[in-house]
Amino acid sequence: MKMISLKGVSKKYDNGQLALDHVSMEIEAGEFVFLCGASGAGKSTLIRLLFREEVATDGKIIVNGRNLRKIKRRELLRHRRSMGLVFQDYRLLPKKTVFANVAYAMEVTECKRKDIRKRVPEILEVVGLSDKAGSFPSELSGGEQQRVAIARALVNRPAILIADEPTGNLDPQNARELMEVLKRVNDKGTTVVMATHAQDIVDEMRKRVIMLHEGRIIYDEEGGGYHEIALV
Amino acid sequence: MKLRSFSRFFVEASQSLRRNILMTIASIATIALTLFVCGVFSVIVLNINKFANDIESTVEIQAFLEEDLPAETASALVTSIREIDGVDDVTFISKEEALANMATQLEETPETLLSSLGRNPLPDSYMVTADSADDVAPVAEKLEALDGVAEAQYGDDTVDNLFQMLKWIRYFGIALILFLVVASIVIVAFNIKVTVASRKSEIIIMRYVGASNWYIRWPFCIAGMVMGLFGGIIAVALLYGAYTLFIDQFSSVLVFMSLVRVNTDFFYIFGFMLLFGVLLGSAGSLLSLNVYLKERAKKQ
Repeated sequence: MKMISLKGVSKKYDNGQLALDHVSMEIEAGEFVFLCGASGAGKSTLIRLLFREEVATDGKIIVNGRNLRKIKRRELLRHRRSMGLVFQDYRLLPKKTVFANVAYAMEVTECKRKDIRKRVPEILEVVGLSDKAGSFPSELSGGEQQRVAIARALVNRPAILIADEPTGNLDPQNARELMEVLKRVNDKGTTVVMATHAQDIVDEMRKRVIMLHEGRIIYDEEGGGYHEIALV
Repeated sequence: MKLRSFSRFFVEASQSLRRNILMTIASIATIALTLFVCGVFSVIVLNINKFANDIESTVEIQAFLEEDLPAETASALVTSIREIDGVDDVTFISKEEALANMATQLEETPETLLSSLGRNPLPDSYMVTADSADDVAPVAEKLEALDGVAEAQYGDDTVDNLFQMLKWIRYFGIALILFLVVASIVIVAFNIKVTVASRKSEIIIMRYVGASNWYIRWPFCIAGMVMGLFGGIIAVALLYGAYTLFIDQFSSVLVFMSLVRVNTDFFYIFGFMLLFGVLLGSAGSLLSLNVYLKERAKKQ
């Protein structure tokens, strides 16, 4: 089953900048995909289009069976809830505990308290933070904070996890641990799309790599690596 | 929106109000001031209305009877006059009484007046008072239509001029209130916008985890309503205190008009002020948030 499908997608911003130029690609359910490219290559725009923060200027985007250019308001909310987002800067609420931060994502979707109390510890265990449930973000390392963000992104059981430079602020050790978590999540069936320019991680994971350059896909290969891209 | 979310909204609203306590106080003060001025103007309008009514209802209509009207016909007219809607009191003034009154006004005796005039030129008349101010003109019209009545007079011009003036005062009051309402919505909106900006990251996160716009709005809306309610309570207390003090101090000075006592009309004004405060607060917060949510939507 196709989870993400782009056909001839272009995005031109109001200032005239062409961020994506006729991009076509397909991502199957359960895949792990690296989105690579230098800054300004179009990675962030692509992620924003998938989350439907931006609307494509041209082309067709179907995510999880939803045509994002024709999506209605109510559907849009469902669409966003079917995706988990993780950012380089974690974006945690500093005044809430780890538990409350993760629970927050369930609260805003109006889940029952009982379900929240049951689900949050489960997901904290998946990311290996069961013992930190009562801590505040400021008491955690960067790696731990990012794992909280991943737990929050996953707590509503999204079909797709999108991570935008999740290891950008982490040291190699923490980055490796985070990748382990993402791999575990992917092994359980969640589609993972990760934008990065961490060459060593891409090389090590040996997953599908889609390389963007100036808004176009210049490379798309299963089990590829970053070093090979340099030759293109 | 599910009910259980609302307990959370209230908690969040009270947290944000306490966290930005200075901003909260500023907003409450702004709303209180606006509502107080609205209240003051309502009270002024109320007093003006009463004043106008007092004046108009004391206006007497003089119905001059035709000359040489037989005495019986003249006295029978009183029944027809009493039958007119809106007539309060009717008094017969004979031509002799009229002459006597005139003589008193001119500080002469009726006899000297009569000798200098040759004969009594004044007709018999009825002095009619109306139930209310609104009745004066129609009553006068109906009096004139009666057989035997030559003319019905009341001080149209003076009263009309006064009413014209009162109308303009009312318009001015309404315009001032409108201006203040807009100003206070803008100030509340601005204040809430600052609060919203201070919670920007939280709002962004809410959107990312799939919160609906209303889920984001409600806590701010409740915070606005609470501020409006507090502002309303303060304004009502101020107005009540100030007005009772005013009556105490000035009712003896302002002898020409009797002031409205704190009565049921006041409770309407108070109720309106509270309701209006709540509306003002929520309108301000929704306005600022809407601008913000739209801005976000555009940037994204």
